[in-house]
Amino acid sequence: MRIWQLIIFIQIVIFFSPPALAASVDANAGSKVAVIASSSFNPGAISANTLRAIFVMNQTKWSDGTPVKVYVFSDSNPTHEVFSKEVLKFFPRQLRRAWDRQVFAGLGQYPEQVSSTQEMLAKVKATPGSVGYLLLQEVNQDVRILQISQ
Amino acid sequence: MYAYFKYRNRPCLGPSCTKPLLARWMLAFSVLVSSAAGAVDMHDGKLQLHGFITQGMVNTTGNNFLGKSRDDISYDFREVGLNATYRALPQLQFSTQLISRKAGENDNGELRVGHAFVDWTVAAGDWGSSGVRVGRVRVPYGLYAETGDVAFTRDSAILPQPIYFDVTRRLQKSADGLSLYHNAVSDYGNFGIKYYLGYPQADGKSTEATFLGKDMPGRLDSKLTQLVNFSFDSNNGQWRLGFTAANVKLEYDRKATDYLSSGDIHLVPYLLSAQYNAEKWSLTAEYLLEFLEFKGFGPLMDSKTSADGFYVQAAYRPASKWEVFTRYDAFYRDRSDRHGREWQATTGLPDFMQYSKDWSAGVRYDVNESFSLRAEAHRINGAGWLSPLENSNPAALEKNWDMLILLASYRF
Repeated sequence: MRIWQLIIFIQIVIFFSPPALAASVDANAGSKVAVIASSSFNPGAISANTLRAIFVMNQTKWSDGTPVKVYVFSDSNPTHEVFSKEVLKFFPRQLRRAWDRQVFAGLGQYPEQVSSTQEMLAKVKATPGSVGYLLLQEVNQDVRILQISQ
Repeated sequence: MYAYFKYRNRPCLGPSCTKPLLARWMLAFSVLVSSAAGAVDMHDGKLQLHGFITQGMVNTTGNNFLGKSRDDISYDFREVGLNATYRALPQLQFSTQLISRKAGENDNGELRVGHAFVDWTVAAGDWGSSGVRVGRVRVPYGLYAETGDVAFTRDSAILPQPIYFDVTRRLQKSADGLSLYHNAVSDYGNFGIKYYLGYPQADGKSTEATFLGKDMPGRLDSKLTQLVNFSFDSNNGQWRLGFTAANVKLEYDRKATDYLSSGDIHLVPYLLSAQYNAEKWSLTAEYLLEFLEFKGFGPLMDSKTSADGFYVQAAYRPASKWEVFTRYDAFYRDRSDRHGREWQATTGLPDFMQYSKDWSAGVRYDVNESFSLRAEAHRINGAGWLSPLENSNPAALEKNWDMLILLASYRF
């Protein structure tokens, strides 16, 4: 019967865990995140659907044939969290799950992960057809802000 | 291409195979270790390599699962794999997976090609995409079969057995042939249709034992099989819905020493899937209805039955590195004989071989992005999805049994 006790214990944990346990305090809540692209490449305004297709790694090229290259921060990065939830309307975890499914089924690839604002700016600047995101105040002239039409 | 894979996949039996197997293992392991620093990107990110290694410990009472686990600890549950994708052009990708899986008596750990296909996106735009995949393609059977080998993509240490039977796993994973797909993007989400035409992998003693009772002298092969899958993924990733139907044909070719005649097995599964994801929790349920027909084996074996099974699962993430889940699943081999009474009366075998009901719960801890640990407990009533290879004496089966699984996984 010990196994029952273990099962019931875990079930109690699941159903009675206070949501307060969740430790994701959003330091950047309310910050504005901008989607950026190389300034040498102008795809014009893109739709929210297209943006989503790009970031779930479903869309691999732009309408003129230029390959899409996606740069992201790590899952736990606060800017990534704001971008994911506010701009993409995806929980970071679901986004990660969607990438995992694509990669391990052989259907797609992961986006490239960068670790700093400088790296994001440099990589996006150097790669025509690339997209990334940054806090609005971190954006400089090396990159352009992509307009997202709703 | 089919013939090539069949040749490559012939089961490796006997002592002569031990040496190359060990060499392959070491090769696979050295690749894993040498690239432990993270995913490997080459050719300007066009080539990506990822791998995973999972080791389980299984302890059960009453019956064996994933090795000799009864009143003992089985370490015979191990998954090692390497995935490579090469995106030659935005619309052209080559993908392959090499996998070695040890799962008790059901999988012997030999190195196999999990998938190897080329994906050509014929057309794409704001509306979605259409394309074709050719080679050994992944079968989108339910929510988990496409990536079920990779512990990180599962919510539990073992997938719910009424849908993702360990004993017939290869049959559900991939097929040699082609697949056509179409994705339609909308303001609600992504609607997908996939159609498959090919030969699923029916080789291996486990599939034979599942359908024919034991590892038979003859050979079980698949015939041309069709599968269709409809899916919906909502724009925010919250809803995933699916429907899968297939028309699987297997043929058994007897040997002279066989007491069975050659015959055909026809499987028609219908699978409904639904998942809801909130930020901290998710609910998942799938239901399988499967029609099964045996023809040509003789009056004792020939039959027409239908089986069904389902699971309902809740997962909760109290903190970013922790996840707990609980699940109930049930499986009935014969819908017209759910308690196995008729089975017992005609065969003299235990009635509880005809069903399984499983309560389980588990916890997962992600040490970091690459390493995770799990513990999972099961309380099971019935022996419906047990492997006959691991539980060869039906008289020794027990109706009520428990299982405890510990799992460590690493990926890069």
